[in-house]
Amino acid sequence: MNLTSCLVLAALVFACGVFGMLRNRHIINILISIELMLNAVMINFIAFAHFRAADPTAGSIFTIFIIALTSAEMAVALAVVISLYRQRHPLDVERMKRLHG
Amino acid sequence: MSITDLLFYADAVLILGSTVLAVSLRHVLHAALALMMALFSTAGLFLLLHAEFAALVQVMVYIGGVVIFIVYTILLTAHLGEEVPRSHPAKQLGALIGALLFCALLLAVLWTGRAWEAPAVHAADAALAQAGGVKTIGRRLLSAAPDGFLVPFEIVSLLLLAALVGAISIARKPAGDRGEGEK
Repeated sequence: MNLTSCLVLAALVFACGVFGMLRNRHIINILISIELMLNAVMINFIAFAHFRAADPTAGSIFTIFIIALTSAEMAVALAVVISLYRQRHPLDVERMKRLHG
Repeated sequence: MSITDLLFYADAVLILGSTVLAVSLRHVLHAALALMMALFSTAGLFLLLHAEFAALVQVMVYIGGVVIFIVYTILLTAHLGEEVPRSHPAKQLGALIGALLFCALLLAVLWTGRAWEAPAVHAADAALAQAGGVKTIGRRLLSAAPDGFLVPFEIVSLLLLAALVGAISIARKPAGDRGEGEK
């Protein structure tokens, strides 16, 4: 286990997230892909903090901030999903014409 | 190969496998469960990297909060039998090519950059062992010293409050159709 293997793992996870975000049409699937991409970013933070940092604590703290930001993001996004569902809109992103602005 | 390496590779296989499942499974609920698995094995990776507190927060907030919230939303909004169709095959191919290109780009940067291979400042082992602990993180998070994180901490708490209020006001039932949308 070294830094490069962690970074390669994070890159692969991030690429999977990109693939899922481009491929899926259900809005919750897209949110799940975003979660996976953020997960890859957190792996990077922790790996750099462990292998190459004068201040390893900061890596954990940044990860905790990312988790807090993600929960805020998911709260709003899922509220939008529930609101869409309540107004009988489809949860298919290609049919969400009302959100085009 | 040491036991740490072995654990790392097993964990990496778990993370990658459940990530692939999470993006490829057709049923949304199954995808959410695969996401839970991916986050859980990532928490295991954090433990391997001596970030105990991050691993705990990952399990409690991410899995116990966010993913459970996703599952609730899926259960609340599922039309049984109605599935969102897959994208057009050409679009799926495009997504695959895009993701592969992205992956190649990241790996190319990894192999050519190697900026971190210069002799870096390396924390002592004793400091490293304590760095992910609750006590160190708690002190750093709430200290007003130049290397403390007090201001970001307060900003994040404001942001969470704003997101909470926003989420409630978005998801609230509009006045007037009380009990109408229930099944």
